[in-house]
Amino acid sequence: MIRNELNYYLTDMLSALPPTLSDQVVDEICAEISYTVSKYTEVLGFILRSTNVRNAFEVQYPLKRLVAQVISPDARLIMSSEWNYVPFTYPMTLDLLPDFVLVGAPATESGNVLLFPLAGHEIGHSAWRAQDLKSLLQTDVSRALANAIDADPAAMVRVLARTGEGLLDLQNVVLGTALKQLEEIFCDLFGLYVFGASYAYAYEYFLAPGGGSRSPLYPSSTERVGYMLAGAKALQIDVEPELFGRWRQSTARKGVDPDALAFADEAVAEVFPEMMRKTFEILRDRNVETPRTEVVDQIITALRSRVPYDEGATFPEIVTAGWRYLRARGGLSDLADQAEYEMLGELMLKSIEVAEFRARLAPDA
Amino acid sequence: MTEKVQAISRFRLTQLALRAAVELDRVRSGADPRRETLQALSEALLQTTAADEGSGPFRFIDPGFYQPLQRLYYGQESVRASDVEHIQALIRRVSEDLARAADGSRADTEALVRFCVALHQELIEELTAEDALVVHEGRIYGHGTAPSLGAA
Repeated sequence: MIRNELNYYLTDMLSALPPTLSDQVVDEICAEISYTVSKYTEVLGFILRSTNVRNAFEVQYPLKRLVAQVISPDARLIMSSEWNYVPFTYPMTLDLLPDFVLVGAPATESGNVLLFPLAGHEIGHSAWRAQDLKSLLQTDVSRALANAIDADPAAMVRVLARTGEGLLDLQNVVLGTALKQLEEIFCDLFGLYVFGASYAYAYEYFLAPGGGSRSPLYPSSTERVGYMLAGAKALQIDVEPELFGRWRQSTARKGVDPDALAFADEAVAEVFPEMMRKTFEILRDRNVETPRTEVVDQIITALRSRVPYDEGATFPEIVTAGWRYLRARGGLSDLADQAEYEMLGELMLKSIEVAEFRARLAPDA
Repeated sequence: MTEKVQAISRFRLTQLALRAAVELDRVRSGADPRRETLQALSEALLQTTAADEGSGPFRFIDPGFYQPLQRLYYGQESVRASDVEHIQALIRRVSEDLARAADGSRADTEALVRFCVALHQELIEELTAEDALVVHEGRIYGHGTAPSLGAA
């Protein structure tokens, strides 16, 4: 597919250019080819690193089934890593390779099963587009935004005076900001629905203690975990109240208008309940299962006995059990606990393998 | 749940703008227009500005396109004061001109080339600035400077 795209530029386009082409158009062709080569280089590197044996290949098939359920039966999953300490996906591939879902993990954690619930967030970005949530929500968000601006005319006057823009400009820009925030919240709800408490645990492990510099395209650090906890409550997921108890608030970046950002935040807060309802409805319609508490408990019993769970469980159930075991054991972060911590990872991977083996041999497979 | 028709992406519109620029450059040199290239951009442009369908409390353009189209409007019309209606009117006018050019009717080819080049420039800049989607951006502990309303 990538070769075809590049061939288009090399053969179809460049070879068919008229000799009279103006300089301004030639410059644009150069800009587009430069951009395309640059972006595909990133993706090709990503694909190459997907074969690295440090990756947890055991989770490939369970996640691929999830992708098939929520994106399309033909969708394909590529899991890989990058030397950035954050799980990621590429926005460009969501447009160019819509049948491919790319999920990247930090290279240092690419074999850490406990971190994989965050892959749910990245798959969520593809689901957001596949379900065209932006179109579904944008009228609701525009109403909420208009309400927020109407409710605080003084703030509106301030922001328009500061920026020198008109009201419609403010409304349109903030609408885009609010929708990007909602996409991030959707991805969290998606991860939470699929992976249960393990999504919240992985999020807390990876991002503690919160804080940091806030991009306007994300909810604030504390609002975001608030939305996550509201989602957990709606799904009846048992998360310890103290999990995010010491979570720090993020600080807005310089140059971001605080009143405009507040309008976006208010619109997001107003639309959140309806978006959460739609998110869970989409996943239920797609027959996506949530982790079963009784199975999670059975897996924990197996882990305590130092054996893999062999009765067949879903990947989210196994990783949820792994997190619950880890937390019950105080985090296993002492040097003396290292052997037990590594064994936990191996037991989870083996349990996933056994579950996969059983799934493939099942009568309805 | 049924699959929904996907909205046009910024990358697709970028490609269409460039192809149309090349095609219009050919026409400017005396060649006959190849209809499908110009027609595709004409239709895609209308799609980008028809987001609200009058159902919301204010007029809006598909948020992914608003800022590049707004900058394009400033450049094309050489005015700073814009609103959504003006941007939509410009896009509709260009879309109609492209459709006329596609049919071989009389159109201001020079102006259309300029528009396509400017549109391509704006969209390529947007795409180039696009970062990977990450779980959380809070890892950045510095305070980068962002434009005023541009970053809301």
